[in-house]
Amino acid sequence: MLRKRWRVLRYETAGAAYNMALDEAIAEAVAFRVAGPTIRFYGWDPAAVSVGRFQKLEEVVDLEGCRRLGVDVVRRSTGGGAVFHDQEMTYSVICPEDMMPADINEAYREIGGWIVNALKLIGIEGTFEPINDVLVKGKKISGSAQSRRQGMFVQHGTLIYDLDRVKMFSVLKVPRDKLDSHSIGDPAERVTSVREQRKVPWEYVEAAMANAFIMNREWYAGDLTSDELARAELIARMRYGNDEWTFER
Amino acid sequence: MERRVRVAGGKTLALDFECQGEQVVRIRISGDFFFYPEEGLERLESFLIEENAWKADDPEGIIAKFLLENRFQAVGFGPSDLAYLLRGLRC
Repeated sequence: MLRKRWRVLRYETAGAAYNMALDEAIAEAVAFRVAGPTIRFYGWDPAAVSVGRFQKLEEVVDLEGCRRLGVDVVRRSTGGGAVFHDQEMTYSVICPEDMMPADINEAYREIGGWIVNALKLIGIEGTFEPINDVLVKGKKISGSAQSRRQGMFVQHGTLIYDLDRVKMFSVLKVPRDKLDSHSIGDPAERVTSVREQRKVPWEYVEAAMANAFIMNREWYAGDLTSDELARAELIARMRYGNDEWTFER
Repeated sequence: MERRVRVAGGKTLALDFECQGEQVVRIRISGDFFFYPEEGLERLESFLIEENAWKADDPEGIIAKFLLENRFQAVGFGPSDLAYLLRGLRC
């Protein structure tokens, strides 16, 4: 029962280090079979920039801008690019690897399809764009990053609800080679949000994401265990809140 | 010193290297790609140094073989992209 039935955690907000640590703590709990496969929805308070595991932080993040605007900075355990997390719905899907397609790109496509379905439920036409994005009218509205370690599958990603482009590009730096390679000159015009496409309330997005993610799956509304919460606190302190990790590259 | 390439598909792959005299002593690979498992990237960096991969006749081949043997997978760049950055590396 525990093996295939998804635990769905209700939307909550937290700081950047804790958010990343909680994904890891849940993955450990699922690996030790003290928790079932888990779908988590969350937000960021304060807003934060997360950088990919292999990125040079100072190349893609304006640290002075972050300090000025009170924006957190965290390095993810997953690869991919820098993301500004502000008015968005973040998700994570954490389960044994054999519950997801063995092929990494196929797994991105599968969960990308769940995001496309969520958008459809609120009347927005989205398309999955390999490797890891969902686009609306050619602009990015969602990105994801996946990790597979010791038989565990973790994918987290975002759905942008609303956009403050000035703030976004006060904290993100766009490397020159990225600027050169796109046909759209202004990086701010390469992203969009749910609110730009349709003026739907936040609650609709919350419901659409939950419905799309549990579609055709056995699930229950669950809670985190006290062990997961305690472990997340520890991992946040030791790893994600630690400058040695954050400034590793 | 750094070399970088914009890979087909949109990801950035950068290679930083440190020299002692004429010897490359450290290689660091960075960018917005994915690598599975993540910890494997450091092993790839060490392997490139041990093998003097930039001097190899077929750097792409030895990188591909290393990834295959260790069941590592790069998503967002391929052995040929890394080989492109390594070719002719000099201190």
